[in-house]
Amino acid sequence: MQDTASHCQRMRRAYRQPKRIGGGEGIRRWRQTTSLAIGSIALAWGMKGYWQSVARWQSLLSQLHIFPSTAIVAAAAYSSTTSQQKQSSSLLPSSSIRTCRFTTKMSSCSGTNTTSSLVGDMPLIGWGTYMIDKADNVVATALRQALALGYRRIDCAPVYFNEDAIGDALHELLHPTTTTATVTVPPSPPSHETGAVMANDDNDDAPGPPNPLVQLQRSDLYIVSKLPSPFHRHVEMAVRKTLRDLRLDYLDLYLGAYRHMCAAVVTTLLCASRDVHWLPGFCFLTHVPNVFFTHHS
Amino acid sequence: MYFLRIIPKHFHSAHFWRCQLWWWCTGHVPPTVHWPVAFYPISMEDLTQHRGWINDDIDNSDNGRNIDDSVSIHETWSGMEHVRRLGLVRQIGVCNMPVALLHELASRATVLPAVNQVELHPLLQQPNLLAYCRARGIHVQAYSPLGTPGYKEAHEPSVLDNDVLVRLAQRHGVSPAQIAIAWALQRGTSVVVKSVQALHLRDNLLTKATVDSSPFDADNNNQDRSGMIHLSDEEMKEIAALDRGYRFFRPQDWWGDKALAVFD
Repeated sequence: MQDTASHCQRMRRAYRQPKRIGGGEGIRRWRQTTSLAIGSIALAWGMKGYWQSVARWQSLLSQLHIFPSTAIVAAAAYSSTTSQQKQSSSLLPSSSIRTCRFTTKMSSCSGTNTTSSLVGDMPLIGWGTYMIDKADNVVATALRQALALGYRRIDCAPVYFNEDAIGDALHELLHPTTTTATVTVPPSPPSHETGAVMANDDNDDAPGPPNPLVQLQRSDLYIVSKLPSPFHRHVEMAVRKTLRDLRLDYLDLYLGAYRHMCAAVVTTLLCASRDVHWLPGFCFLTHVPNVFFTHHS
Repeated sequence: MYFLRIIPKHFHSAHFWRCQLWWWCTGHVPPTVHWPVAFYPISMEDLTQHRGWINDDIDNSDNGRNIDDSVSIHETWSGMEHVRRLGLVRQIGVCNMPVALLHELASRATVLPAVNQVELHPLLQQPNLLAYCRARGIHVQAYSPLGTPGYKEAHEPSVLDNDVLVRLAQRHGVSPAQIAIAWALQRGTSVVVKSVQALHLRDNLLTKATVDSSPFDADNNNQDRSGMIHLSDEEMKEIAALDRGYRFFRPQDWWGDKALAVFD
């Protein structure tokens, strides 16, 4: 009797393979002719989107005009102005400038070669900027008051949505124009309001008005900012954005997780935009409920 | 895993591809992984051309639905180390890290976090976290050291009206806020206080306290001790007894069970 089995069926029999569903000659021929073309088109489509997005990232990052070279120059300048910083801060209220010198030790809980993270002076009492409205110059006024009183650590975050106003106020203080005074001194509160509270007033080291001739330097300040949640995969971009908003060259401290969001909230910036093409073969594999055999025609 | 087995098996069937074609043609474009629904796409033009943020989408977690668990803390931390290497920032730290996450972070970190900024006040003292960080030289910074008097709900406990703090304040002749700050400094933490009123700004800043002696030896020797608030051991114990573990910032209120990975 003539064996009418196809080559595929014979192979299946020989190697004891399970029967493939719908594996007829026609569909096999159709698949052979089209699958390679479809696959290569899909691949090219996906790679095009990928390279487009990469090029876009690079071009836009280069538009930020903040380059590490400037920050490194600033870091070099920092060490040279330390003595000047001490001199100028001695003219300011002493209790506010108290800093803690902290050096991080080697990691003792892990076996990796963990290096020390920081050497620096951080003012013990910082000024927070959460929920300060940036409208109507509130931020600028409060910042001037705080600096005049002697706060030197400023705690910012992008999610406070006032970093640009703080940056403008800081820029005005750090690079004053010809007429503006460096720091405006707020009027001292009347004594009947402060009766029980101002216990330090009779001491010699109580802060008087700061010397208006002292020009505020960047190295006098200790500016902190935080990583916003959607940027946990794009830290450098977030830092550059914050530096741009604050109009600074460098930050003294950058805190890695935004206050409440240790689990990272990620918006994939470019993946969410429409010009990213996902490979169909990868995309329908995930997170799709049973759509494969729903249409019966 | 189910699809990984099923789909290659049916690649040979014409019916499967007909179904796929129908599905794609009816407008069901292939869905992406973790599509960030509530986050509007932030265009890079907005990031680079504008200062500030156009809306508050970067703060919108959509009740935790936007939280992506697939981002590991190590990935973020390597980015932080990168920007430190670039010189864009001097020091890098973390916020709101419990001991478990810090330990996980340190297991792969090249540079340990310099600072851990957490909520700390007499009602939430976190002594274990403090001990862990102190043993590893991680500086602990307290936010809301006064218990967010401006933003808390009316039914929430008040730190500044606490009987113990008020009594101590009367004894020392200062304000309860100053006692709270002095207590924080004496524990070896630094504080972040926020006020836009000159009077409060001044009060908070005028607090002089005995800071914890271990990292501040040089400072302690040099400071003059006049007008300084020094809480005795008994007074410190009195404040330590106030610990209720009460958080004014509760992630579980915003994220539901997504927050369980963060605290406890």
